[in-house]
Amino acid sequence: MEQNVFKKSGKYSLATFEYMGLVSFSFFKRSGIAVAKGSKMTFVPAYQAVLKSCRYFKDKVTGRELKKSYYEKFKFLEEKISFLENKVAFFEKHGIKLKSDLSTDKQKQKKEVSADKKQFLQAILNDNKFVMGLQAATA
Amino acid sequence: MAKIINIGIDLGTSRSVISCDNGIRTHVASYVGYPKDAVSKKMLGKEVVFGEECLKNRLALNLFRPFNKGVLLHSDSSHDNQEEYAQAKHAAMSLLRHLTELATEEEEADDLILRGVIGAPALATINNKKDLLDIANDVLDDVMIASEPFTVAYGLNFLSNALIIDIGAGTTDLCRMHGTIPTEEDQITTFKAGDHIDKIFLEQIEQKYSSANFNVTMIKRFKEENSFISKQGEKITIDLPVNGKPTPCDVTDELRIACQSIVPEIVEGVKDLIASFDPEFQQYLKENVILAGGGSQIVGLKNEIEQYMKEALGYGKVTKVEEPLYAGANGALMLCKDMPDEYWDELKSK
Repeated sequence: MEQNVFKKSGKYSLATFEYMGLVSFSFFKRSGIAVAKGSKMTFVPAYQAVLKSCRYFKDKVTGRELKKSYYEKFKFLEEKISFLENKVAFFEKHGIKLKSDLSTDKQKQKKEVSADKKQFLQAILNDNKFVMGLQAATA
Repeated sequence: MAKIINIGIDLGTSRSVISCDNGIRTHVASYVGYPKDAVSKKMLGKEVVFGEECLKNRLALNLFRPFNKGVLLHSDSSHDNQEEYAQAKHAAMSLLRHLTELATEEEEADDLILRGVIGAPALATINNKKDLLDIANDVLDDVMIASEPFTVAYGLNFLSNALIIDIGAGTTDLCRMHGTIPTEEDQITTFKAGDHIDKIFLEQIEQKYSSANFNVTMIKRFKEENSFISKQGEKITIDLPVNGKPTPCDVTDELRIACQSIVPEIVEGVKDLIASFDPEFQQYLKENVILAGGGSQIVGLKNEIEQYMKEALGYGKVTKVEEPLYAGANGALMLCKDMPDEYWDELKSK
């Protein structure tokens, strides 16, 4: 009889302890889920808003946004400019000059020489013309 | 856009010098060599060799020295020596192309406009100048010729009351500057220059050391390192092979005699140019005698000319240029840079 009482009381104690454990686990789990859900609801929109603004700023700085939208247009223009530059270079190489060529003007500015020196240069030019004139005559 | 590169060129009998406004300047011995056969071609790994490399491999090469006495070989006798003349012209063109390639090898731009001014001896004939233009026309986009002593004067900005003595290998050019382009009366060219010194030096050594084996190349190199006129100084010896054994030979007197051999004509030329100048300005000319070219490096030459001027003309001050090797090319480069575009265009239309 005494043995049964002890045995039963032991079983009840164990069951009580086990039940309390389950209840407290349930509390922890539910409260955890509630906290996580609440946090998610609170922080994710804020995080996304910050991320969006950062991305926007980054795209602005690196020009990615611009590149994305105008890449094709720029590529076309670059090809056109490169083609025109090659044409201009070809003309220059063959002695054809553009009046609006600023870089040529710069080179001309560099070559400003005094009137005295210009006379020397003119004399050398005349001498060369003379030699070349003979060249044409013999040819 | 095409990039313009201005080039000053001095195509010399012994050395060819190039000076560019992209900062590059260099010189190459005026030798062009073509491999003699397939074996030498394989050994050298090139179709054509230039400068010192030619001298190192001269036994495996058909060697050409395209310039003689400051102008293209057989320039004035092309009808009598057609084959040699054509070879010299081709070699000169290759040499000039090599020089311009050296000057532009670091240029990134694809389209380069090469403008050059080439120095020609003071009294070069029309044929000589025409040949130089022919050679350069195939290599450069625009080209002009100018008198060598004048390019030296222009580079140093001695355009008035100065007498330029440019001692090269083939010619010694004397030119007096008086604020205008020098005419024929203002210029004297003598052919007693570096090569003449080599010739005399060779003859002198042959007389003294008849059993020694040597050639002009050996003598020339030695002369360039040791040339002098002064009577004071150390004994100069050269190791010459005698029966295959290098033997030290004293050549002090021989070298002095050889170097002195060019002086009489130079000083005579100086005297003539000064004496025939306007008496009012002779004094200024005497004060401004400029010594340029490789020959100006002869130790004691400056003093020798000054001494002579003192005896014959009462006074004389000779100044050596700082960079004798580059003086001509630098002056030609300055001319090229200063030349207005419209002048270049005029030549094109011509």
